[in-house]
Amino acid sequence: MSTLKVDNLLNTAGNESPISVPGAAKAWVSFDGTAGAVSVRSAYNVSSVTENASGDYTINFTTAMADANYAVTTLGHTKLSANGDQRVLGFDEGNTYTTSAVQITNRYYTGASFSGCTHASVAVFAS
Amino acid sequence: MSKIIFTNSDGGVSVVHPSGEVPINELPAKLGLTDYEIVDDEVIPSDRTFRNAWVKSGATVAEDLPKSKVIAHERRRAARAEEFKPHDEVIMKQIPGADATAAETARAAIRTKYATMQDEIEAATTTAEIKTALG
Repeated sequence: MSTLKVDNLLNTAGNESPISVPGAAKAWVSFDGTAGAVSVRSAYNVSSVTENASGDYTINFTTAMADANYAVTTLGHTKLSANGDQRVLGFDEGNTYTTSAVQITNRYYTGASFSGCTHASVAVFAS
Repeated sequence: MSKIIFTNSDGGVSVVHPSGEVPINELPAKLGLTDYEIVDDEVIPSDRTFRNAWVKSGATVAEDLPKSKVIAHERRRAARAEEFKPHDEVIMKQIPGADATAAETARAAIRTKYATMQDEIEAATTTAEIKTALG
């Protein structure tokens, strides 16, 4: 068995992101969408997070995806009221989904209005 | 860290929060923005009560009064519905007696409370007055 030890992997253009490793996320971000100002905790291949409205975010990629056939997984959490509102962070009808950005929304489980999300995690997988 | 603000297609304010991977002065071109402002964090209001009523005013963010009133009324209706719930359940069971009478009395008080709040919201001339009305 061989062991591969490296500090950095570069793509063919000599850049670190996004490298093409099957199974590895091409972009990911963890952010707080409710603080006084939305804050990005950590990210990879994400240049910025745009808050369009309460609970409505666009994740902007640093390096665009090759096509828009990528997969997105999301995880969101917010508990603002005593009864523990259930929210769904995901892709809503009308949201944009392009090679350079993906728009996600945090909606009440009951289908009502959007709401800010304290812990939002988004990962993008692409070929 | 600074932010970028711009007016979005809904007329509201979009706030761009950089991750640090790309210098903020390079982001507008990357995002295709032409009409925008790079502002200090302090420009973004910390009070998000009327987040969806934010409008860009030069290099500042303001709360639009009519939009704030719409949001306030939505919250008023939602709060009223929550307060009605336990009394509605009593009345729904249609069991004659003291409980039903008390529920009707409580519902009347709730109606009055929120009718007053509705008037106060409509009469407000500032968003601060709306927030006061909401309690």
